[in-house]
Amino acid sequence: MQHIPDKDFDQLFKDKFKDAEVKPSLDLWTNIAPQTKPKRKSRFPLLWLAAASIALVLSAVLWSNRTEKMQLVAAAVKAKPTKQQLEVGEAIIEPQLEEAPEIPAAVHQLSGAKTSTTKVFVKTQAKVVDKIGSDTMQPAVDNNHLVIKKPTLDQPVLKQISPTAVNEEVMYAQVETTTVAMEELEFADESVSKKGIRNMGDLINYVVEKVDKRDKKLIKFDTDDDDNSTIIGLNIGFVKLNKRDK
Amino acid sequence: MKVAKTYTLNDLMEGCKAGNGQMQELLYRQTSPKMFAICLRYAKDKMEAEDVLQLGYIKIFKKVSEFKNEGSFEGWMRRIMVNTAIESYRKNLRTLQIVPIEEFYEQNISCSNQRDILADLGFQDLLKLIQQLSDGYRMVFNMYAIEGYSHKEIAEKLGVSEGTSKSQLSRARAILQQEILKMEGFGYATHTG
Repeated sequence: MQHIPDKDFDQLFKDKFKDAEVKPSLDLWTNIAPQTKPKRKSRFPLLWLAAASIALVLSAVLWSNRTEKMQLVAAAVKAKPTKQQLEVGEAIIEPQLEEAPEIPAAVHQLSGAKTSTTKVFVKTQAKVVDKIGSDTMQPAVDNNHLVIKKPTLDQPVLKQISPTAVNEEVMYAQVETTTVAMEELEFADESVSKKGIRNMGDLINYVVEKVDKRDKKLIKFDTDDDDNSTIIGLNIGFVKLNKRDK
Repeated sequence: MKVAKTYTLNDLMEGCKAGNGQMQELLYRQTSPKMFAICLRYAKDKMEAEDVLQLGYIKIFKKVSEFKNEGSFEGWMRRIMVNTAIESYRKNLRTLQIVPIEEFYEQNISCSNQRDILADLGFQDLLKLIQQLSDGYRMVFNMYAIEGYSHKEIAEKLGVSEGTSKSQLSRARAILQQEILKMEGFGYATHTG
């Protein structure tokens, strides 16, 4: 006797499965059903809360460290002024606010009549600025520090500083600015434009200025030629504190 | 929200075209048992079958606007489900199309015997047998014997040669037949007539 012919065999199977039904488990539908987003409401105040807490932390840090050595938060270090003033070969450094660990730095101001040089020291505990390969470096640059110049000057170079031991001070950046040339930078805030960025308050003012286009900025510092920065204005959502003599 | 009215498949299809969430769920509830049986045939286990089912319905809802009201909507859904199953198979494929070495031997059994046995078997038994097949055999047998694809189409969809499709089909059949005959003695009581 022969085997059942292939065709018949196939057909038998086909017939058996024609109306076959197996109930799937009940909860599978939830993975298929279109998902809605009910969480829109809480997003808005959350943003303000985040901004407020950052500002609070900033101010707390500032007020507790009113000495020569200012502590810089990572966000300020990688702020936009560096973006404007630097070019790395052809690349532009993009500040990564989320990634950067807190990098305290000491800012010193060296005197100079027309040229002031600010050296930024960074105590690194973790990785510093990435994204810059050493191949883009100009050979003339000293290994230990970077020379960051104005766009009108030579192309500046930022080099990655390898993480050193904890608490060791490594010079991170050297900013050469001229007070005259500063006018070329578009500053709405005159105090910053005329005198350059002297201290952290100036730095924050600059950052805020670039970001916040309102009259009353998120946060505003009053600064002098030393390392003194005082908050004179705060404008976060519902909190509006401004000095009258602004 | 219970609706007293019963919907035809066509109603549900139109509702899905309109993006009506309730219609989508109703369509799912009504058709998923059949679709799941297809998924179980193709997948190597229940978990994969569930994945395929979910992905398949997501695709169905996405593409329903393209359904041109020509031909059977159920047939259209089935094709999508089968294609989803094939995609899942191809994605999970770890080895190349190596035909596994299966031990099988010729059975000298009358064909009427096979027919009798087969007649008494329900699809659940056959499903078990199909699931025991190696992946490649299972795919080809399903596509050829049950879905009715040609070897050319199978070769294209699975990315194999027609020759591979043919040889895998005949081996699949041989193994299935052998297994069916084994069931003869066991009083396959999963469903008695």
